[in-house]
Amino acid sequence: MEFHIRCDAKDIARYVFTPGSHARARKIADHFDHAELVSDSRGYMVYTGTVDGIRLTVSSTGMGGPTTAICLEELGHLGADTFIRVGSCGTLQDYVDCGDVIISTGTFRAGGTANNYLPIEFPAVPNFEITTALVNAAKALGMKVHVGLGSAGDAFYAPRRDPAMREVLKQSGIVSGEMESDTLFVLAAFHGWRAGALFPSDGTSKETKPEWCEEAFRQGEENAIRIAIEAMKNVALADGAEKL
Amino acid sequence: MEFHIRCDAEDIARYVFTPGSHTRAKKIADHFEGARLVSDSRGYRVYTGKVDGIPMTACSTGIGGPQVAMGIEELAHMGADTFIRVGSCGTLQDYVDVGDVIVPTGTFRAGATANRYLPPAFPAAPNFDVLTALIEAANKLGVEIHVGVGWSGDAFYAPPNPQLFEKLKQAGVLALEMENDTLFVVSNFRGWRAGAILACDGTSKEIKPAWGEEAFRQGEEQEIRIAIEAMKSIALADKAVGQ
Repeated sequence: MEFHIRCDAKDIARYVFTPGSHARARKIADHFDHAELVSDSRGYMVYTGTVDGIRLTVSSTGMGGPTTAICLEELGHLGADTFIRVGSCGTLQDYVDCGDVIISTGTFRAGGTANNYLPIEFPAVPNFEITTALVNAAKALGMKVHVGLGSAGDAFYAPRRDPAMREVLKQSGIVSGEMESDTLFVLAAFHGWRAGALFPSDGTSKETKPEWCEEAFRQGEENAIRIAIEAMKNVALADGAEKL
Repeated sequence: MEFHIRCDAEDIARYVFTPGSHTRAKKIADHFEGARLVSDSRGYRVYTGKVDGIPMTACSTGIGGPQVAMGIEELAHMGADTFIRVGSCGTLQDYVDVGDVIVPTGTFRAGATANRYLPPAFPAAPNFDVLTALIEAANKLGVEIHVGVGWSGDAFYAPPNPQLFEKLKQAGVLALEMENDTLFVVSNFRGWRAGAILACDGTSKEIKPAWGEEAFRQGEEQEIRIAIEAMKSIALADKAVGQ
């Protein structure tokens, strides 16, 4: 039994979705056959079930690096080694609309948690196999996505100390802004796990989480969940995962 | 005319291979149709020719970040926007043999040149289309490759940091070389596309052993063939979308 995720190894699949949001964890589990709530402790809502006979788990991580790192470590202790973050994000780019789905190819490490594992110069990049599975799943489902770099930070409401940096990152092609993928990618590299991430945008380059965006965002969220599940299924099948 | 690469825009293709080594630039150009030496100045040996009718350039960058950054900046002034580094590397991993080919998905930023463009928190990652094209080209040519994170530094002979390298080995770092950090970061900063492919010239135990020479040359020839195949497919995809 782990310190924070209160269940046993038999309750956790090798393949895990790690949204930040509890409600999104539930939405992902709604796509499983026979999803079971295996732990609800310290904000980690953990469901395990099957999709087309493949055993999958979803665990909410909560927001930010510290809670994400603890979640991943404990899931790793319980046997997980393949992670897809299905998050939400804002965007720096004017060409991104509310509800657009962005697949990450790397993250600017503005957060602090990952520095406890590997120094800042280590690239926060996803596993290529997972990213390719996500891109191919989006194609197979006929969904248009953006593929590119993001930024992940620790402090949603902190004053922007350096507005010029935002311009530089925009010019350098940073598409998404969120708070967990830096920790996910660096920890996964450190432990030899596979990880990828995708995010529907809940805003535009001009507006943070505008109310008028809600419906488009929910559609994007549903698209991202379907892409993630299709990708994870294909990764598991390529691994030779047993069908139950 | 640029300050260091002494030729004109008409001499440079949009698609450029950037090996470190001068002799490898020549080896790449040997695969071109009608290759001509368009500049040979300050260590930038630049050949332009065609592959299946597509104009391509090969330019040696020399060793290390400062020369890479100047080289790609001047190439871009002359119209280049797509770069594949065809390099050599050492390795941290025991399962990598001399002559093995490695495609990096990102690189540890131990070099300093890129810091003048973007802070170290920015991920030194290749362009996803170029990365995918390299891996698909290797599959198509039936060459087995390693895909993973690398390390790029400034000082070949400086005393190493064994503790950090043990950690990086555990974190899966495959390739050790001196140019990808600069190439990836400057390319992201400028909005160019860049990727890299590397042939390993050593093992985790030995740096550039003489007995590895023949296997390395074999790997070098394979990485050149993969890079050219990948660049061709990128150019054809650009043409298809009318860019």
